[in-house]
Amino acid sequence: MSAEGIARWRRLEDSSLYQLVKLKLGRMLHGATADSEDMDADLGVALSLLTLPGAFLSLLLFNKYGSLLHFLRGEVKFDPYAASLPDEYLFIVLAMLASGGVALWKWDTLFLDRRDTVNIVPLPIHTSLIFAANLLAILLFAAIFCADVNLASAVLFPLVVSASQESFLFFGKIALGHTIAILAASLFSFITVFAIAGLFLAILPARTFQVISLYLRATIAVALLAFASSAFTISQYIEHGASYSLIRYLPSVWFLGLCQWSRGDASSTLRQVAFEALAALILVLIVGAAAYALAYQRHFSRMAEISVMQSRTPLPLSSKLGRLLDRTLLRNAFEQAGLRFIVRTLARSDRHRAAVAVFVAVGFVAATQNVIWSRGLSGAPSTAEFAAPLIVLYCCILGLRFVFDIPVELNANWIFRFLIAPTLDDCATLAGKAIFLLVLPVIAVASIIFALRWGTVAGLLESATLLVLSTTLTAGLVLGFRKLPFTCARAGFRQNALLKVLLAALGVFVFAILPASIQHWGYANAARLLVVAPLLALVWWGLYEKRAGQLEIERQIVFDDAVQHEIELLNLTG
Amino acid sequence: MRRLTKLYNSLPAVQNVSFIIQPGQVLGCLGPNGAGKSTTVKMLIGLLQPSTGQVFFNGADIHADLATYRKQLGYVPEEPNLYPYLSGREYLELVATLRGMTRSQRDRKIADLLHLFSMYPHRDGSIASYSKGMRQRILLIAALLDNPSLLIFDEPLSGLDVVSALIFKNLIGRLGERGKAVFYCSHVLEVVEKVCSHLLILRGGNVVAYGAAAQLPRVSQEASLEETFAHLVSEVNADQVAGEIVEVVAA
Repeated sequence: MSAEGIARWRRLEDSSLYQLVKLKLGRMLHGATADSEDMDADLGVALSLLTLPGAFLSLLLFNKYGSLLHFLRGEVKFDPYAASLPDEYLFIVLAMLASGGVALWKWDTLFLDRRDTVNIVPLPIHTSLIFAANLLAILLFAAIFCADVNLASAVLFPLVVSASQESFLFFGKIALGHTIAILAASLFSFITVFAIAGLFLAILPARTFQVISLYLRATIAVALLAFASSAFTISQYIEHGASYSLIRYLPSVWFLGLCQWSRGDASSTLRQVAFEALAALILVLIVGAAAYALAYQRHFSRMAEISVMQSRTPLPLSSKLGRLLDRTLLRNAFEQAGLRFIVRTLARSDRHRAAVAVFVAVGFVAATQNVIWSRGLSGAPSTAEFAAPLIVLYCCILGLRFVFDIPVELNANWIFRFLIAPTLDDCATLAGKAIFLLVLPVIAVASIIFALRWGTVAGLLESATLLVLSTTLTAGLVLGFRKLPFTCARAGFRQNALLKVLLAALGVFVFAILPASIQHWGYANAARLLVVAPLLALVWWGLYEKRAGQLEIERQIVFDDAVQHEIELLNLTG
Repeated sequence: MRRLTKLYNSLPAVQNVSFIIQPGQVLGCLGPNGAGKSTTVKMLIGLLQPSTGQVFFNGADIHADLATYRKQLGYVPEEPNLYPYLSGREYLELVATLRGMTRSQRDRKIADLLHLFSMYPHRDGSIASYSKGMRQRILLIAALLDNPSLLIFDEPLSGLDVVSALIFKNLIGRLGERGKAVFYCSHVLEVVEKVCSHLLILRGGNVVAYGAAAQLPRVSQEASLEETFAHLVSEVNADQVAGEIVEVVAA
């Protein structure tokens, strides 16, 4: 770089705008409160994971576009433009889902908070500069993640589609259309989530926004997942050349139109929806910026005046329920204190609530889709209807077990280190009881729905089945759990993450689909369900044996997941 | 504590530290940054295992039965690290329940102490919204809640307002009169001089002075504790450095 270039770069680095953008971007990338080292690793994993689906999907399509395979199949007339349209649709949905998900993930850091007020406002910087810097940082953040989400597919998919074509122009057209469509769709999805948050923050009082924030995020997450779950159906719909009149109002179809228009291959309908895509993108950008400006004006400028002292008066019912549980299920002080700590953490930590919400949302969407696709007889529940509560329950239990490993305020866990005896071995019991109590409402609601729809006996059988299966799954998941939830450094999810995801997917079949089929088979004659008893007994015997085989030290509480080095330097000569 | 040494990667943080705290005694621990105060406190409460040496409580090694020892121990850490989403009352309930206090005893004591520390009106506010002084008061209440016989305070006055600090200084004396053993770590010499009956001064992980507070200046032939401390641990001329800082600021 020339001396003038270096000097210009230094001037930029020294500017307030640059420093403010850097600060905001850093806070968004690394998280506002978490341990930075942990979050750096998380960011790396997140960036890698976000690129994977696009890469996998592209590679899976080699089979479809390979010329040799077409030759072997006897397909002499293959139109890659038409054939790639349903696949483009899948990529567009994938891009929108991932970018919308990222915006939801970083929801809390999108807007300025009290920390910004304390640290930045006292400095001699004009508030309009703070506003501009934050908006710029958000756009940069959106650009980074949109590029990351689409990087692999932007390169691989055009290569795959043009694998059997000799013309570079063909590759160029496919690449251009694909890249424009997925980047625009990504940006649209991200900015839409941002605009929704901004609008609510601009309209509602800050405290009300804080209260509804989680529910708003959960609703958007469910909407995104529902939208994604319909992708394959609509993709097939497009593949079969059906009319666009029914699906043209879906934002993803607008961007499909944009893709075809960029390729110069759009029908009149797709050309029209392409313009709608551009109009929608410009509209959300304007709405997002306006909502952000309004929210900034309403909240950030007055943040120092807004009282932060929030009072939480305990509900009499929760106090009575707590006492009842103390007398019945929770047998010692550790379990009593531990359960309250778990419930309060889950209720108040945004990070944990969001993680649980994702699992619950996945469960609901999967269960709903399963029921919609099935056609049950009205007289008896179908296999899908039996499976629906099991899928939700499975996701809830898995989600709770997952979040137990996410630490909260590691610095504050000294109180547990200080007060809990290191020889304590009740952690698995506490975790199991907590999960069981937290999923009880799901079991109750499912049983009531079954009772109302198919009669009391069906309701009772359903509740018995759900209770037995959920306790069995919970007992298996907490086996070997030797931590107080939320008090340890992150466990090794990142180690074997892919294997764990695959096992979790397989678990849906074992926990939900298979038992639902057995339930359906046994519905006419409940005595048939007894055939499952030996199998369950075997599972419980296995769990008991496994626990009995654990050494005492393997059950004792730990507060650190740090890897013990196998070789230690003793420095004996010192 | 008997001949405690703690090595970090073979580097000693604390070396051969020995002292005794009798019931009714308030032992002040002084030392510059890096002197080994925090390491000593962590070993004293059983969070760190010494490399060599032992900590005894009532004649028994604390690591033989940490749970019983900690039941007798109240501790206020240097940093007010608390769970920010809990309210002050909820945090104290958590501590009391883990300490095995009964519900009636717990609720009454928490309410009384919250009143006395002027925290009752804020009891249901989230800790995230508390000032540093309010968090410190919650930590003090948590330490005192179960009537411990040994109290360890690490910079307990940090963030406290003048009235609370005054109450706390008097409280230390009263606790001593009630036969509690108190280990008090601080950088504030005036407070240590006022509230402590005995002093332990650390430097570079070693004990450089240990004895009755009133006798230390006399033994070291200095006029005050401040001068004694400066003589024992200070490596720089404070006045000279202050002058140099002013020169740099003004330049």
